[in-house]
Amino acid sequence: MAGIKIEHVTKSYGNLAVLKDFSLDIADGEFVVLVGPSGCGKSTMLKILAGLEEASSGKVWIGEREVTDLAPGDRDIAMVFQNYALYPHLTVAKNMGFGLKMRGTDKAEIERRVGDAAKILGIDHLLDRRPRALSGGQRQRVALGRAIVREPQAFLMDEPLSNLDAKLRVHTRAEISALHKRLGVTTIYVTHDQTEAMTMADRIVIMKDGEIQQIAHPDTMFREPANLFVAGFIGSPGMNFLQSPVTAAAGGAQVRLFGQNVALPVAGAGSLVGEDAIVGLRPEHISAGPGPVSFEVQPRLVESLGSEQYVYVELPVENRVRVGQAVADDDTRGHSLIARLINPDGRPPGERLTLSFDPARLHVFDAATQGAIQ
Amino acid sequence: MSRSAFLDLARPSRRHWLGYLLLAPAVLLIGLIIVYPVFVSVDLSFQNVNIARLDQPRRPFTTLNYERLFASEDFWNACWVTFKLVTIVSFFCFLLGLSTALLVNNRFKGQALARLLVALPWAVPEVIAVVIFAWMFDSSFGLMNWVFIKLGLVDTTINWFSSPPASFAVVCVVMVWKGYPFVSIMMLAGLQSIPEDFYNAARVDGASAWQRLINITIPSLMPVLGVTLVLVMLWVFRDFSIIYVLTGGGPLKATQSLSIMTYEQAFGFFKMGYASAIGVITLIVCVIASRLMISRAPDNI
Repeated sequence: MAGIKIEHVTKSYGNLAVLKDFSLDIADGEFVVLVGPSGCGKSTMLKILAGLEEASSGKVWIGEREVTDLAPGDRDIAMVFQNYALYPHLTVAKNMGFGLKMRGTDKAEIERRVGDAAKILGIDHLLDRRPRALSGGQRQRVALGRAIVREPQAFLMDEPLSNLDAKLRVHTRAEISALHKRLGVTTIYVTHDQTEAMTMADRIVIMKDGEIQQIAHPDTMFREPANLFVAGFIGSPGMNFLQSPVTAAAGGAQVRLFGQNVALPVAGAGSLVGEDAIVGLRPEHISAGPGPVSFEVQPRLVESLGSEQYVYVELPVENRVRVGQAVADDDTRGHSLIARLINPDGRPPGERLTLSFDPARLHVFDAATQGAIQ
Repeated sequence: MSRSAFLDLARPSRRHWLGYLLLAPAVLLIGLIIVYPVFVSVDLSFQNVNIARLDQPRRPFTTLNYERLFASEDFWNACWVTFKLVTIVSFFCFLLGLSTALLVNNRFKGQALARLLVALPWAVPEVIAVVIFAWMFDSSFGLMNWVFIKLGLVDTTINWFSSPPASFAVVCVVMVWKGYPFVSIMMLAGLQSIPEDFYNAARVDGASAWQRLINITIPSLMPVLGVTLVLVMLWVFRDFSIIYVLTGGGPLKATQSLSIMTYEQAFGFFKMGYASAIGVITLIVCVIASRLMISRAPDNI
């Protein structure tokens, strides 16, 4: 086991920079999740860590060794691939022991370690089968097992859950977390799913267009997103964004939302006076009935999930976000607001509705730089 | 609009009719040009026929053709020649085919051109290729003798087509040259169906290039390998034009394979009954050989 240090790693293909100055310190035994939309460079970073791709510049350290120019096999890491990459012509036991066999470990030792790993993962009854005789979940375990038997310095996982169905994914997610607690091996996990990142990570590294947007503990990331992108990416359903010019008010600054003046809860807001701000409000921070700031709306759509209701509301034109695709891929998201009402009473759909929120819950972003204002 | 209920093949209950209907021409054609001649030839092999004519009355049943065949030294010689050809040509076709496929499977500049060049011999008509090779191996003004002398490998010209071992070697060279592109194309297709992550996983596991070839590439190619092997073997078995144009089976029957012998007996000596017997034996050997090969292919296809 060892920590990992990545110093100013970049990667470009010709003029296309897919990774811009990536630096990260990972402590021994930490579970770090790289998350971001597709094409953000997270998988490239993992491949550079594994030695499957060459970095254009920068250095990588695993433990005390610099491994920047070391072959993948010499880095003492194990990788779990998205499609598991199990060899169809080998049995489960031989698949799991492949790495040890390549290193010339002796047979009895391989057998012992494969047996141990299989027991941990509950696949000891499958050892003589071929991968094609296994279900998706079992294959996934075998792939994990192949990583475990190597007893490496670090695990690298490249979207290992994306080929599983939703239910199995939740289950396996918990299992990987438990496995990490048990083995305590440093793990770097790549995913595009913010739920996986939130539930598993000790620290999340959120990326976009080859750049790190924020590195933080999941709760910090949820409560204090560094910019508009992080705020929109983390959380489901995503944060609502409203745009408004900022005006000075007694004791700070205020914006106009739903035709009402709302004081901004952050100290730095004064610098935005005269400019536009984007205000973020999480769907779960909107409640039914009157509150500190209340407004009456006609819901466009109400989705009921039993324990909770998603209420979709058209935003007033002056509050619609006009900064283009910065907020989300679909441009209609800037036009509506989602309220997530927990334990709703059975109100009939189509009726006008009073919603409210607490201004203290607002996140404030500079519309020009998209950075968060504290 | 009313459609004739009888002709409405789109009905679920009639759907299989359409299948049979579409299959019919192919089945008919195969029956006419393959199955029927096979039966005729089996029938002929049990008669003492010289020039076969369908309007002739049947001759009495006899196993004389087979008795003569198994007693004939020529037949066993032809079997031996065919066996040597199949083994040597298949082996080198695979060696060359697999190595060229591995080579052009890499990414490099001019990869498309390299692939084309590898596949080129396959596209050259057999007879034309053989005529070119016959010139190259000509004993008095052929390219090969010149090259060999220049390289200092021999000091006098080799008479390629009058020495039995030399002519056998020439036949092998031409067959390998003509046959390896097929193996190469099949292997290339096989190689491209191997997921990149297999190699990535093996590299992370510390497998060297050689270990990756032995442990991943070859096993993953097994299904393709088996089928290709059968096809190549059958091709060598039945190939006629290369040997016929190059040596005509000579010298001293050194290159007389079963197919050449069949031709010679049928159209040289007009002993069609006898020739049919050779054909039937060839067929049986081919069927058994390909069955063995296919059933030996691993079950992970």
